[in-house]
Amino acid sequence: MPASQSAVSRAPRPSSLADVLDLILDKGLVIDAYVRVSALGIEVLTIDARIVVASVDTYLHFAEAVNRLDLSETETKGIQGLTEDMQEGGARGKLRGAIEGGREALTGKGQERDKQNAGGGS
Amino acid sequence: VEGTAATGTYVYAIVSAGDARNITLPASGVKQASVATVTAGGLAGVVSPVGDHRVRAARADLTAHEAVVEAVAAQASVLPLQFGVVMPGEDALVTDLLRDRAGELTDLLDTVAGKREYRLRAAYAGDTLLRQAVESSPAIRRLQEQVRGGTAGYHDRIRLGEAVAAAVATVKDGDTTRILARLAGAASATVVLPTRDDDMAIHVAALVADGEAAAFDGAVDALAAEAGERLALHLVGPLAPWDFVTPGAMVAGPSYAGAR
Repeated sequence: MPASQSAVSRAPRPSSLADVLDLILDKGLVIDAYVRVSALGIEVLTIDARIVVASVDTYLHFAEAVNRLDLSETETKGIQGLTEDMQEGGARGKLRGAIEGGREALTGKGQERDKQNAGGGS
Repeated sequence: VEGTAATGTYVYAIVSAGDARNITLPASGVKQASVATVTAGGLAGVVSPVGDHRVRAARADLTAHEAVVEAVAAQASVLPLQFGVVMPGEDALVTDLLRDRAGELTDLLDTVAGKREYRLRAAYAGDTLLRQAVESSPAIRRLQEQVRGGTAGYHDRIRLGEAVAAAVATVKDGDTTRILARLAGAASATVVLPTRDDDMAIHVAALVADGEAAAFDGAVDALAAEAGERLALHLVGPLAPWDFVTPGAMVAGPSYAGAR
């Protein structure tokens, strides 16, 4: 393992859906004058794929991670409890962040879409 | 909206008219629709007919968008569009985009012509980054003692985490600067991609001319040798120039009111 760590791993294309989303939702040419995709569906998908962690969650995570650095064998219980707490908190953060992110990514031009829908609705 | 005239034109990317004649398009794209090019003047859109305007952001359609763009990028210079652009028909694409925006699009296409994007992720091995951050600051070590000793409360944990986050950012910034300097020789442009605060990695994108691809690859190898076991490097590409096609002019377009 150590020997292979200095080598570069290479892939022609992004391997995870999260990485694909990072390209096609956040990057690429934005032409906001036109109809954007319906937001339905994206939020459910992004909860799995995109992670936004609130900063307090991040700080607590750092504190815990640093704390764990020198802990060799004692206090397993306490640390475990903390980790579990944080995973719960982290999951809530993810959910919240993902929904916000999804909304931002896909309904930034919501007014345009609504106009469109209102105009084309029959 | 369901049941309105089937005129939606989903747009994946813009290529030159000359390239549009020569590329082989994937058999299907979003909504499993056929993929075609629509040419006007010197530009062409890579499109699919999608009926109404509602393309759901289903997993299959998200990956189809990426797959179509990359299939085209492998054969021609391309301006990838963000997922989800549906125009009200091919006429609108021709008039409002390929003709009205021809100048901007052509200039932009010129800047990425013959170039591909590479994304390099440098992940700190194990606790490397945290250890370095802790070692960099006596204050962090003091707080760490308190937290570990059980005398610290919630706010001390927050303070410790905050201090570590700042130290981590400083270490990351230094490594980012070194990485960009290494890549600069073989890249036309580079950009630092955002990472989460607690992501123990650096992420950058580089726009690389086809003729420089080997040199760029060599630069990445040299970086890996330099970093040793400290950083694990993961290189993705060549990709369409996703991170190098966002000029302000295109973002601030006029609102499209003509669809009604």
